Amino acid sequence: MEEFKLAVSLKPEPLFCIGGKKASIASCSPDTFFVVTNSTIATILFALIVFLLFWAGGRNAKLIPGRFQAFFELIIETLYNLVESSTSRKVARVIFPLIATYFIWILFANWLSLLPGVGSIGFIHEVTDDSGKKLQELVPLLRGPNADLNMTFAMAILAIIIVQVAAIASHGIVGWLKEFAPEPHFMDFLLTPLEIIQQFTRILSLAFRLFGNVFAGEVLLAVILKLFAPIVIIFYGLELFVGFVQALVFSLLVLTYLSMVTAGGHDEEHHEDEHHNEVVTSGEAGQMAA
Amino acid sequence: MNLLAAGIAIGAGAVGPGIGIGIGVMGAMNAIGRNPEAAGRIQLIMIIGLAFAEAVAIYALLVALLLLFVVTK
Repeated sequence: MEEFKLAVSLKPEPLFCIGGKKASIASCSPDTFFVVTNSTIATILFALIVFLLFWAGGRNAKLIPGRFQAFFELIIETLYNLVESSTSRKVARVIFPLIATYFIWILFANWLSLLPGVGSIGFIHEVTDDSGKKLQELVPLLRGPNADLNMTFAMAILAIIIVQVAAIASHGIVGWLKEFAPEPHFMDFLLTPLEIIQQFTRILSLAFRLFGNVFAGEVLLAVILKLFAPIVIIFYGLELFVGFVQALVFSLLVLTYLSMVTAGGHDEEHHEDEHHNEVVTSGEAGQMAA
Repeated sequence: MNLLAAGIAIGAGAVGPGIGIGIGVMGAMNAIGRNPEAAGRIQLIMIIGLAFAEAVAIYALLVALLLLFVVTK
């Protein structure tokens, strides 16, 4: 009987090499111009699915929504209330599309990569392990986008750049630079490097949190399948939950960073908005109590 | 040797975040018990806090993965 090697690979496997030649089944020659990996294909495919789904949801939007439209309105409305609850209304309207995009994309990418077939359909080739035994190894055709460090790093870098841009936009260049020299100024020789390093650790922890959770989840499912297959259904449910929580955590953290750097700039408007919100919420509470 | 190091890295590295997340959730549950109306808001802040505690475990996982796949010998 042919034995399968447990396919745990940290890197996505290249499938096509544009401008180069394939060195072996899962690697490109070094002069390759652009490497199309299995996670590239999955990313494009999943992005297309999410786009079509939401495009269909927003097409012929009516004032009185049908069931299909109401479902999408529910998602968007819940997200918008979440964003508005942690920042002022003015800022919320600007940053909401970004936060919603992060949430929806990460959620759908995580859930779609749990579908049977993703990571389990592909080419089989033969490898020899350390002891010289021949094993079959699978090179999957699709790989979950967030199980690829390039994807999560790109999203994290983009998020932190946008945070810096938002800080400049709401406080000006001088205000932005002042953030890096916090209050007790005689300590700045220590604090300034820390503040700068913090921006980079934010990128690192955002990227690795998402990647680590999704990748560890895939390895966990593979190991459980090999050990005792029937209980995999429990872990599958766990992975669905983890996929949701990680999408929430990523977008909430970006939201927190953004509301931190934009707070305080337009003090009066901010307070006015908060006051307005308070009035509304206490009014609602009164209605509920009645 | 690398296998042992990776095992210790993630095993020992998960202790701290485990305790931290436990304390965090305990605090949030106490708060919800006292003030059930604020449950939604508390949950949100708790999840952000847990994400920070979990980051430490992710760093341990990163070290373990580096030991397994990148560092040779």
